[in-house]
Amino acid sequence: MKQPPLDMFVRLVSWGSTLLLLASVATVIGFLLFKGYGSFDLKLVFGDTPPLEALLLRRPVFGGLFPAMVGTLSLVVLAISLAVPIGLAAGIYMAEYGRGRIQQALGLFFDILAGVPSIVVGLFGFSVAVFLHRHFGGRIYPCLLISALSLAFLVLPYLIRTTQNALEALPEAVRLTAPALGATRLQNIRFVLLPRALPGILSGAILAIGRCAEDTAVIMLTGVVATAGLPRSLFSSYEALPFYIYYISAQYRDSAELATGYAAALILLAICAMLFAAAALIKQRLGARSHQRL
Amino acid sequence: MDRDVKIRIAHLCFDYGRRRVLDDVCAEIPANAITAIVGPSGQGKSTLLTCLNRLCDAVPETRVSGHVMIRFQGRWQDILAPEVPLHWLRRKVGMVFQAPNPLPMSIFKNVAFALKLTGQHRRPDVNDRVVQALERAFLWDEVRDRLHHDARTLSGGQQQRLCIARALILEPEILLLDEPTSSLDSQAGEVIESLLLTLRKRCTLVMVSHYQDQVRRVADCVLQLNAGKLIPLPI
Amino acid sequence: MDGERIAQKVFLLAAVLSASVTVLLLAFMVILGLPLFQGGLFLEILTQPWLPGRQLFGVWPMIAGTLAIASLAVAIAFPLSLGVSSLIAVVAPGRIARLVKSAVAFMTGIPTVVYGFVGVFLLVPLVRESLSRGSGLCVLSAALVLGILVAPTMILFFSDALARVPRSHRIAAEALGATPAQVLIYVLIPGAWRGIVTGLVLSTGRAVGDTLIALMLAGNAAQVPNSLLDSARALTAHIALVIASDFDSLEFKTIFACGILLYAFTAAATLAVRRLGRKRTPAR
Repeated sequence: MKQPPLDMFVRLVSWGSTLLLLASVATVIGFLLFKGYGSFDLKLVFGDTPPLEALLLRRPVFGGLFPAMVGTLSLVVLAISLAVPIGLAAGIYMAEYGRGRIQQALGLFFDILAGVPSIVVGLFGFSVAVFLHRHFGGRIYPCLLISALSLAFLVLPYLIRTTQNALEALPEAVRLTAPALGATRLQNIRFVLLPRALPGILSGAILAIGRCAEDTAVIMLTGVVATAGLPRSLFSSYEALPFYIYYISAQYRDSAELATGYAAALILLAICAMLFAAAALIKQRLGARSHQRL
Repeated sequence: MDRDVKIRIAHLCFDYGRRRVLDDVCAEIPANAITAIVGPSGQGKSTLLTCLNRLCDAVPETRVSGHVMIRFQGRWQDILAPEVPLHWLRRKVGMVFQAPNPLPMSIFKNVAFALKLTGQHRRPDVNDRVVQALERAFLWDEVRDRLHHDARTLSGGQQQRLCIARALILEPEILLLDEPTSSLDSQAGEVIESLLLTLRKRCTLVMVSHYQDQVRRVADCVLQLNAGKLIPLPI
Repeated sequence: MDGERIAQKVFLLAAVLSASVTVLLLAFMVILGLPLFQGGLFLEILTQPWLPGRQLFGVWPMIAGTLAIASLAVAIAFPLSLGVSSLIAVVAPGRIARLVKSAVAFMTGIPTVVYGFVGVFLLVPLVRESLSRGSGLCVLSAALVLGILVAPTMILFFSDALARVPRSHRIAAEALGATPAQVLIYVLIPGAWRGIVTGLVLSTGRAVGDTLIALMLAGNAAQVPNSLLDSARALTAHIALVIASDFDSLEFKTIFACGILLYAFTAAATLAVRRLGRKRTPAR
């Protein structure tokens, strides 16, 4: 079929840009695989320490990624356990209780917070640490807790909005079933609405985990360091994978260290890819289920 | 039948997924007449209509086989052939839908839209052709003072006539109408019916209709579909 | 008080606490940067060059750096995103579109630092060698990677907006003989312009607010860039670089000016997008 010139042009541009974009992602991933694949072994993670001893925390690890991985893990766990309860509660308020002006004003604040650059959130965390340091004794410095708190602020608006959207998307019939049987508002939320909205909330939470794991700007202002070993307490400094990658790109001493940088980037990419796949899977299940209902 | 034949449908089958919607349909549709397609709902009437301008191509997971021959300026052409340019076909075979679907722009621009698509919108006769199309669609007197108002401010019946005017401006040889009055009140429907009767001399009309009395009033010829098959009708 | 009431109060408290973070963020920056707001100093800082040797701590070079990097990145990402979302909407709908869309969604999950890392070791040497000038750490390198970074967000916004144009409009045009390109240009894009502008504004916010790409790839020289191959420092990168200096110095205080500027810019973008979303065209 012969095509008019305008259509030829549109086809050319859209295929061209799609291939360009996909090729650049493929290049990013391929380059990392090519450079980092060779250095994958236990030594990469544990250095010269026997893995079992390291895992049982009996001996510290030097020259491996283990401390950075543990640091990122503890950071994510802390940040998410701070953010999810508050985000969930605020999301429930927005969807089920909030009305009129108050709800609108709160929504505006969440939208603004969602748009604030992560370095500014990090600066806030840093300022809080300085504030606490000055007014409540000198023991508080930027540390794991401050970082986790800042990351929690970063993902909070996102969690609130996904909770709110998941609840508001429930069909009216589901919403009215329990009240018709005499359930109170809270019972309805707890036993009907939240369970039904869970897949949506969960996939949002998983994507929030991904954001906590990959963010670098927040933590570089709030306590991450290049070498700290395993985090000793909530108030100590710590290592993290994304910061390690950044640090290596600027400060690597030899090709061996650079190779661990490639490997660390691959590991972080794999973690985020798995989180993304998990969230997509949950969402797809949800989609399939709501399709059956129609 | 002694009239000229405009469309000849031969062994037309249409599958949607695993469901057969049209099953070996053969029919002849006369030129410069109104042919009504009738039958219970969900039996493939609209599908048959969209096979005549290949709008059915837009739906995924469908399969068409058979032939739809149309005589354009004396030459027969199988419009189901893959090499037929869709935009060319649809400019020859206009279509009006069940619910009026004006585009979100002014009345004038809606009618002139088809000219824009064919690159004729800068010609000096655009105004005349828009007026002519609106006149032919019985709408000119009602909109002459507000050509540049948003088309969606018109009433339902006026919107439907606007859509007919929009389809007429390219002087199509065939006009397809999918239950053109079913979303309108009876008065607005009557205006459209009398409009269709005047259009017979310009083009061939094929119309899906639910209403027995409407078919009796306007149709010259009737095709009845049931379960995807054509039922011969005594007329 | 019964459980119902307590629960409601708890939910409200959580919402108000979360919202107060938005205010506290700004308040902390203003209070800690307070000396900046005395005697016209703030204006001086916004307009002066950064010459610590001469006790000049203006952030104008960083504003220019951010503008250069972000606007170039958006200029790269916009046509690219329009092209990809056109492919999804009209050129190759169906399975290819779904595949491309999930690839794009996946791209939004790729860590920024990974893009930066690959940029440092793949793109920067390439730029350095092919242009045989400077270190390769420059506005161009940062903007190229940042463009690829913000494109997926833009594409998701654009293709959502294009998909929300009523089907009846599309069919009306197709029935009149519009080719796919004509449907796109005359019907879909005009019908989706609000969504397209929204995506553009929010992606610009992301480009302005991104730290790592500029920090790793732009070279961080505190000067107003004169060409694409000049090194530049973004506002975000400035914060990351100066954070280690003495807390009470004027040099340090400038990072609060940067923070306030970034906050103001992204808040304005959010407000603009909300305004845009509220105005509705008359119902069909």
